[in-house]
Amino acid sequence: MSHASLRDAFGLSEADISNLMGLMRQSETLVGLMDDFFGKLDTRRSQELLNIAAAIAEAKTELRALRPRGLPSQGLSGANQELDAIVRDAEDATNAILNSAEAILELDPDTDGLKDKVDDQVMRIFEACSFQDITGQRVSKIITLLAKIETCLGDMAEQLGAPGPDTTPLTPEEQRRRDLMLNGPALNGPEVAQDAIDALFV
Amino acid sequence: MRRVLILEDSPTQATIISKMFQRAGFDPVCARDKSAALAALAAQGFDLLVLDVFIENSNTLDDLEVYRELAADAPIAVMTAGRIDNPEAGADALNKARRARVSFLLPKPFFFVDVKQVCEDVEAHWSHAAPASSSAAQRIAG
Repeated sequence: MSHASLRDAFGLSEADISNLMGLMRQSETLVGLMDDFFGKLDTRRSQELLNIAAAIAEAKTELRALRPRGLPSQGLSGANQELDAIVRDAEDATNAILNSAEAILELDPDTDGLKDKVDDQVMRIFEACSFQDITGQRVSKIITLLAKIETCLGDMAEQLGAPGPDTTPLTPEEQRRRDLMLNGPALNGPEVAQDAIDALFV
Repeated sequence: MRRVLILEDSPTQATIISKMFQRAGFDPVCARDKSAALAALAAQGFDLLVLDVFIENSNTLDDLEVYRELAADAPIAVMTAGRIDNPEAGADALNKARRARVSFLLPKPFFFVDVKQVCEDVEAHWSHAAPASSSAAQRIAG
């Protein structure tokens, strides 16, 4: 629309028309700038989302790649079954041993063939103890699996950039709390130093 | 008294098995590995060899000929619990032992009644042959 048409149609002066045209140019410039700004903003956001998705996919691939090298298939459920079997075998053996011990206790000292009867029960105790052979193998299998899991988790932590163990020195209060911690029955491992025992009585 | 050589690397199992043979009237001698077993065979005669299959990383069935040379007429009993990390190993071992014509197969865990039966069969074996303890000792000395 020309200036003359605007003037005739809306009764505007030349100054009004000039102001109006200036305002329209400014508006066009502003819309252009905003379009450019929002365009860049969307691209940056979508790129960030794409980067996050790619990082998740990469982590999943890495985790998937760790499995065949480390854990055997059915490893954990297999270990669970072995533990169940150990508990069951130990319970059966204990019951058999207790039953034989009770049978010996109940024998009358004047019974004929007392020695043979005691020997029979003792044989049953020996038989019950034979579960130890297969249990030893079961425990070895679980220990092997735990070692594999440890290696696997170490590899995973390294690939994902997880921080290593915290080596910050303990405060005296933390050290004292740790010293007083009860660790259950002693294992047949490193002996507890006398100094460590003495420290408990300080 | 009949003498039995027991090759078993687990001290607990060796105790259990030797007590069973003792109860059955045999004199047990335990060896924890192949070299100890061969040394015992060289030192005295035996009426029965009871051999565990998987000793550490070796398979006793691969050495049966050596044991047979040192205890010519003594019956051999092969015992195994198999391997839990290889479920087929036990069956393979027992089949291999049977093919090698050993006298007795003792899958673990076995019981006193099984040991007693083996001892009765060994007694019957030697009642039809010369006493092993003296003949084996003479053969090694010669």
